[in-house]
Amino acid sequence: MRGSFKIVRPLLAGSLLLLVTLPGSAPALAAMKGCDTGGVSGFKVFLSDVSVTGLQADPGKLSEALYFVLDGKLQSLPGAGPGAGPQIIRCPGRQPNISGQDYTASLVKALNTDDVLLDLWGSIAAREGGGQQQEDVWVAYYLIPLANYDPHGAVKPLQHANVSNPVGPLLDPVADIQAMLDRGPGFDTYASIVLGLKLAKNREYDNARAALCAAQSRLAAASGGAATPDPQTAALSAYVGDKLQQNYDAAIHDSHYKGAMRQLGDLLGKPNECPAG
Amino acid sequence: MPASVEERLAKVESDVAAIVATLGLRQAAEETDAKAAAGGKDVWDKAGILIQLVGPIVAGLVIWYVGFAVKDSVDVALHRQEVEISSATEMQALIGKLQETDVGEADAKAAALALAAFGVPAANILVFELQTGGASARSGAQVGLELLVKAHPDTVCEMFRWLLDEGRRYSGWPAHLAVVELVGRGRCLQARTALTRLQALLPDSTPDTIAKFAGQIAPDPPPSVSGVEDIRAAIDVSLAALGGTKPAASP
Repeated sequence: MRGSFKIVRPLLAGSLLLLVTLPGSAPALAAMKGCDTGGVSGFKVFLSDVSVTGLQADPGKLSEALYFVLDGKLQSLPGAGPGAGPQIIRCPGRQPNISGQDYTASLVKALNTDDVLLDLWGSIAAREGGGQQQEDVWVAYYLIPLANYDPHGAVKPLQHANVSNPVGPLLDPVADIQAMLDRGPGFDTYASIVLGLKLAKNREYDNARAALCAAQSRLAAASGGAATPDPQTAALSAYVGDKLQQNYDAAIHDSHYKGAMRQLGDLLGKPNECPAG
Repeated sequence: MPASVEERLAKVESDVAAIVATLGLRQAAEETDAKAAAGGKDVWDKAGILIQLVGPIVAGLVIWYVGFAVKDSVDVALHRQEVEISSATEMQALIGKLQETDVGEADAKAAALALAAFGVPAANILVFELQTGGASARSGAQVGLELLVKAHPDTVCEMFRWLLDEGRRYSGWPAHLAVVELVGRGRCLQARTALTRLQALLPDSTPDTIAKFAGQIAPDPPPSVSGVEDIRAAIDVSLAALGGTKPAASP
């Protein structure tokens, strides 16, 4: 019996191998590919592919524009330190589903272990609207640390921005992408939040505070001083406030922490809050 | 006139020899008659007859059995070798899939589960992937090892114990984190002490102690504060799963 199992077991494994390798056995919805970090250390941002559906367009043009805009934004993130901004890792052939279903808890955890902050991708698709063909362009990004540490929180880890362009292909991709990513709370806000989360977990309390305060400052600017900001901005502000408080509490209770929040606590007034402006 | 003395002596000697011979035959005949009178052939005679009758049949059977056994064992050995070669080829394809730089999580999990179906020989490969693979491959390898530790708890748990106790320098902190979680999920009681020893080694958040810890495990990737804290939390959860302590509340 034991001997026959030894023979059956490889047969079973062989059958599984066939299921794994046969192209015809792939599910209708293609599974998301992985991305090699190539041994890059420090914080990273994945730049996945731009897909094109139903029209003649150059995805490479949008991809290059995305890279350009992204690089500028990441290098200016507060708290990362000069020259220590997240590295962009290109992921050719990778195209996450817009639903976010590819980001399982196990994958999110593994990506968080690799210090991946964001996964960003785009799409250009044709759409009929008002009797003429329009071009829908959207950029989506998934916030890895937020999905890892607060998977069921008020802030959703999948964010996207889109633009519908009735005049044909993007005339100025960089400007259009810039405008898309700055809309609403904006990409910078979310990037600052996930950076702040990671820095706080690494007990870099002052840098975490700087990143979270930058997010809070942007949120204040996005609300335009309105007494009742929109629900999304209000939820984000509350989330950032909570994280600032947690960061402060952790710093004060950490006997190894000798930074500004402990040294200047009284002088700062409310060190768990951000300075105005 | 009789012959000479020498001739007469020779004749006497030949007569005596004839008499002696006659007496010997008679004694043998008497012994045989005595045996027959006592009840026929003795045990050895019977055994001899039996051996004469059955011997060729037994010898044939022995030769047939030995031939059959040798042929069967050779067939089994050859078949096993064929299966092993076939397994190695199939495993090679799965390992190749798992090591593709752009393997997705779904494919990595499918490949790792198929590898796990080969049994204990796949454990080392999956542990190697925990150390060297990308995010998707590591995630897949962990699923494969979870299946293996439940199917072969003694062998795989012992491997985990060794990795945490004596093989620390072979794997970096992400692999340590995965093995710690697997010890809990696989209910590896024999690795409990190894968990507590690793727990005692974990540093606090100061750079000096992190650097000291970094010197005790594989350096790639270098351990971070959050990584160490993740391991600490995972040890608490696994120890609780093995019984004894409750996991510490996360801050």
